[in-house]
Amino acid sequence: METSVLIIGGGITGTAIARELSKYDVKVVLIEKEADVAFGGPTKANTAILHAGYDDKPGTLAAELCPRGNSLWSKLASNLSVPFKRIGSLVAALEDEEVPVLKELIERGRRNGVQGLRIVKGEELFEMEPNLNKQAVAGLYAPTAGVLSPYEAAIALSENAKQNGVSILLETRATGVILEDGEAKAVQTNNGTIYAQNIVNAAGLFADEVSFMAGISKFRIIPRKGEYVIYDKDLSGIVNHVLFPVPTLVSKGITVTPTVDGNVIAGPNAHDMEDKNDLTTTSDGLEEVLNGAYRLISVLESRRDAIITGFAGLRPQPTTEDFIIKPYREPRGFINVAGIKSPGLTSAPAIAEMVVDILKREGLALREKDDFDPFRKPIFHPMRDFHLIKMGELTSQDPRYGHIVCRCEYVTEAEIVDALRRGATTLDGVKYRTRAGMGRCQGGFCTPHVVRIISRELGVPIEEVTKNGGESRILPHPAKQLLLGGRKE
Amino acid sequence: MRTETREIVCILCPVGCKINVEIKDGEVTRIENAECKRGIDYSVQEVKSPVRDFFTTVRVKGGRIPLLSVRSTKPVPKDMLMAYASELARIVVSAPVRLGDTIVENILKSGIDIVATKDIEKA
Amino acid sequence: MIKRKSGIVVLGGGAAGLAAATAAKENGTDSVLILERNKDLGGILPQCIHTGFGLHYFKENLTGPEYIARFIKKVYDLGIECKLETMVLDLTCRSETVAVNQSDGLMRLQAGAIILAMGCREKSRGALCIPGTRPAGILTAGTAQRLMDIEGYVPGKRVLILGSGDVGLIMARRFAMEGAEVEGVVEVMAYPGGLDRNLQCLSDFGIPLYLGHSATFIHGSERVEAVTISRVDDQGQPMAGKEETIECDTVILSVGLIPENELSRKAGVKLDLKTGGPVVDENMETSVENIFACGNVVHVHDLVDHVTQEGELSGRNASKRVRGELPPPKRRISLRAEGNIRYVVPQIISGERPLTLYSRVKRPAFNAEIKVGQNIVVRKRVVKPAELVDIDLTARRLKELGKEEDISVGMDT
Repeated sequence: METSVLIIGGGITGTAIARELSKYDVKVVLIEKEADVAFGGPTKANTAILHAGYDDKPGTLAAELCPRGNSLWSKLASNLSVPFKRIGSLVAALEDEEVPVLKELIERGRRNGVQGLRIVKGEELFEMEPNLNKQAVAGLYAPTAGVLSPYEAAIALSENAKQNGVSILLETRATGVILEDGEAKAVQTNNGTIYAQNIVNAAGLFADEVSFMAGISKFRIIPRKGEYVIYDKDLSGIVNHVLFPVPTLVSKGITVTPTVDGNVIAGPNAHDMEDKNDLTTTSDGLEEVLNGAYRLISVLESRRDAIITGFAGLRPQPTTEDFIIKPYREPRGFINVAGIKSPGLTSAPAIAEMVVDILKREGLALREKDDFDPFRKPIFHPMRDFHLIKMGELTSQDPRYGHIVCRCEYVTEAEIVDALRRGATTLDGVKYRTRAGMGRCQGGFCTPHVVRIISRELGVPIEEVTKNGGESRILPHPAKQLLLGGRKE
Repeated sequence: MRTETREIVCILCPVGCKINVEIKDGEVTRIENAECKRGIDYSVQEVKSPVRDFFTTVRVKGGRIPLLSVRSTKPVPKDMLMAYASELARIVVSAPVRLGDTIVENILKSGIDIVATKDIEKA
Repeated sequence: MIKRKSGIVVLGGGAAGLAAATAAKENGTDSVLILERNKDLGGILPQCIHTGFGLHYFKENLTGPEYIARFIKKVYDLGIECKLETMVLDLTCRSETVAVNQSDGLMRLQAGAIILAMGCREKSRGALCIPGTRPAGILTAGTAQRLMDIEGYVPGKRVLILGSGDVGLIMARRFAMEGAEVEGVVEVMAYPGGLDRNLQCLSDFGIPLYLGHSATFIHGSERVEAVTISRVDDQGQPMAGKEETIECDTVILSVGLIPENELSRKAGVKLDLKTGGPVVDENMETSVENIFACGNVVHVHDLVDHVTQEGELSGRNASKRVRGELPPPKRRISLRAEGNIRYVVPQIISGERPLTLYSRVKRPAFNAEIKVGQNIVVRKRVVKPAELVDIDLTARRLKELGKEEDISVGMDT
């Protein structure tokens, strides 16, 4: 296989670059090692925040790209039909000693070009956040911050990229890079070799390993784990903005944030791991996250019953302390886009623009397409807003809109079929596109139904349907097979 | 002379007497802590020939659902539960099925029938 | 959008809903409509293929499907209208519902009275925040039961069950009888959570019961590979050095049932935090006029026979209400559960009519004394958390009730 550009990694970074490149008349292939885009790790497990951009050290790439990405997301989310709410953020100083940090952040934000930052206190602060810790003395308000669904964003970017001609190869993992005469010529994968004039390494947690395949070993990626807890939509309204404590050197701290779907999320903590595949939640981590959350919103302490699930994500923390977005003189034709931890989600569209610029400077001829379609048709979720819908027409067009499969999130069979037609092949793939299984019963009711629909639509036997690819089969034993296999006497 | 003591929790009423049974050469020689005659009878039966209600599923062809729930018409010997389960694993019945239909007569020559416990219409 | 009026609309076609609907129809309300989200009536009963149902109500020992078949037949014989695969999306305090299905689309249904019979859902691994990985192979017991006994798939072949409540014990037996290895049942309390007779599920198949243990870590990258369990202290906290890792490929959770009151909340129905269900009076009416409730949506029951009785009571009363024959009671005495009594249903009584209260205790006890108010003492031979305790407020006992508006129902711990 041959291509002009090969992108390694189907997370938010890789898919954003793919979609940006799809505006041009150039062949692009994206490879992703998991069974679906966004499955890799950081993209599906983070706080889902669009940062305003005051956290990052002025002069760094993050400081430049975060505010730019933040402003690009409005139009992008709208074109891609990705849910997005610009709810603003507050950094709460819980004692007088913390107030100088707020002033530092405002100063930094101004240098980074962030608009609208101001300090709020007293009545105004508690009007904005009635449930905030009563000891809070001041808050840094950033109106440009927001929340978005990161996996839906990556999925939408990949769909729009595909719409515009990008090839996405799933379950395809880079195993080596072929170098010749100081040029990176091709990437070896488990599915054969792909020859590419330009290789873009957006491999997230494994970007250092891929970079090493190309002979570049100037940085390492340390997996920094963050654990989270998600609360029932019942608690919606308990917090109105992205609520931060004052940041530390290690991380932005444990936040309490409304999600774009109406839940409340608390987290993350921050601990470096040895294993890049360690996505385990821990009991100490849970207590740490909860205590951090209670510091900001104390009423959460009496609402442990409203927790619906917890999970962990790994930040791809670079040893360079900033994003690594650059081409190399040796080998040519290889661009690293690595260490994209927070504010990676926010920066993604701006990172994509930067990568396209780098490719242009490296000599790639990029002519804009006449027929680039910026719009991605959304998966329609009518029953979420049933008060606003005149359903008669909808169910007569497709009666499956009248069949609710995920009761907690009001997901209909029509949406699940749509998700499967757009490329979902697994239970989690359906979940990330439709929210089926993300509600308070966590798939207890809908899992059997979704599995059946996947089997029917994709023509695979039920026993082959997986949770997220590989060996994660959900129902491996048809009735009576274990008995007939002679297991029991 | 082999003596054994066993504790049997009686299931016949909520008191749940923990009945101590002494067994010599397979015969019950002493019963302690049973509050009523039913409990005594139950503990003796549990020692000599314990029985259980038997119920499982049977595969169905051409029905609205793929499994039929079935039961035995009488309690069965406890040590035959898995044998009956394995035997019924081999068969497939065709829809329609009516509650009460005999699915297997005289299963494994036990004198006990297996009957359907629900209706299943054709798909 | 379709708009319709009915006499009584019943939300849920399980044991409670069917009992309520048939009782309402038999009591003279002609227009009764059942809304059920599954494609069949019966609720959870069709997948409960074991015996033990109907011992009280029918004086027979039936399986779940056989029990509920009798009520399904009654529904059809009485000509009660049912809408299946119909999901109720909204409920207002004026007894209006919004529901949707494939053939009718969206419907707005007005009723003279509503009967809430939505049952309960299961607590998930996520709600318990059990640490570890998130592989395939983790299911709640009810979902596993549906898969195994209706859909035709055994979820795994080496199973560890968390929770020794009835459903967990029954599923242990089902897995064993379908050829799986059941590695054990893990229970955090020092005693089993289910009815004694269900302990046979374990002893019959040699399945170990780990009392006083809890699951502290789930292992496995794509599919469950093992679970670490730990002995716990009196506060339920894992004790260091007392862990054991059990290899398995499936974790089944039977760790708690939660009455499903999302619709009740939408209608502004007042809920009792102790039951998780609506506060009801002796007519099974909630705090919202004309909205009645019965079954597991009110409190988690132990026997379907009780659910049926409660359903019939609410159906009869809803029927009287739409005919104008059920005035609100003159007195409202609030019952307050205390001590070893976890909750009592109904929470509000009139004191004018004899009735039976149902309650659950926190800890087992022998020769228990339950005090209702200052003067009424009810003695029970044995009380256990797994079994509803009935407290008979006879006419004679009601005379001792006194004039307070707020009465304690308690038992010393």
